[in-house]
Amino acid sequence: MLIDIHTHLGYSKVYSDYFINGIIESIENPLKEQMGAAFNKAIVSNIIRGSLNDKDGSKLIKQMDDAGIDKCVLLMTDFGYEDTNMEFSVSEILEVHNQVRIKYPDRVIPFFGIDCRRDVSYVDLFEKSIRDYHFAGLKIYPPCGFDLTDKRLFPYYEICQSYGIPVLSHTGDSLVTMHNDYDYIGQVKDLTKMFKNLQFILAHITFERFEENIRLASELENVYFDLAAFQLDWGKENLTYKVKKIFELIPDKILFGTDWPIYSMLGQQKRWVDYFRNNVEISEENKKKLFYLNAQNVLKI
Amino acid sequence: MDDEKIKKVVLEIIKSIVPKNMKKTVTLEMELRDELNLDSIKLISLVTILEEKANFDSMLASSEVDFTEIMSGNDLVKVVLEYQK
Repeated sequence: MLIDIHTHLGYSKVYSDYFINGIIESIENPLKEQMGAAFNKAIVSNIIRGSLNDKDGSKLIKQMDDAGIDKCVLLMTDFGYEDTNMEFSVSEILEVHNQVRIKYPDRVIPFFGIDCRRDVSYVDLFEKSIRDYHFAGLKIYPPCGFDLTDKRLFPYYEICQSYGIPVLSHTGDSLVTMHNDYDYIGQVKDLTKMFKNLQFILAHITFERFEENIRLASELENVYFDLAAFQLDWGKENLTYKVKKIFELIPDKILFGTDWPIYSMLGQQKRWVDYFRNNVEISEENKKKLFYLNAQNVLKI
Repeated sequence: MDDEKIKKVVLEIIKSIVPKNMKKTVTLEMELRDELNLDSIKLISLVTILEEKANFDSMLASSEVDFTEIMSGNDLVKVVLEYQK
């Protein structure tokens, strides 16, 4: 069994233009260094956008098949609150993700995504996604413009608690234009006191504040981390060190995640699975925890 | 540009962006990411360099081809052949 706890739909219309453009701009300088005068932003934009063509999730499923991934958590995101040009509404984005679940009911576990600055009616939409569409968690992205402790999130947290489903939050910085000064460590500590039965999956353990992330997961029973974005350390000694520390200190709190399709230009899903599957530094028992036992515990499946 | 010429040009371009110690062993059959360790930046730059060196319509190709599915040098040759200016 293998569960990827962190994937997104590789379909450009469910994302805001400003977010996709921000990703393109974030690689502009290294590309200019590599290409010099040959750099052409329009071509780069086409390459990135051209890969985001997976409306029905079939490309994701093929990748999962090739890599031996049985199930994935498909994280819906809401980047459209400040983007009046976005083609799809939250309801339509929800529907697109639900169609993927309907097409692949045994493979895809969707989480609802929301920007809590929207009005309270979206709380009902969240509950509908759980009740009617079998969504199994909440995805939040604080860099959109809110803190994890924003009171407008509390009704969502209460629903998660009552249904026994987790919250998965981004951690660390995002695009330079976004809200990056949220202290997720302090905020999660506060929230676990307020919502004692709520389980948190914090994304990107290796990305920022690594040592503090380890401590947080060690100290707080209801806090897990996923590995998504470990690809940023690909090929560096740093990754070997971090992986060693994770399995020494928090083998019961780590979840396998790839952040598909963010790193798809760098490698297929099989590459990421094989790195951990063939890693002789990780015991077979810990690989089981990483690949499915810990995820089954959080997702209650 | 004919098939053989394109193969030669693609191979030369790949050789120009891999680490020095790999230049002699590169073939078109090799996996661009897993074997040659090309990162996203190098892969994207390949597309643009091909425009200049292989008469490749990179603007049109980039709007129609999913480059995450290009695995080897041979895959790249096929795309360059299909999108000649």
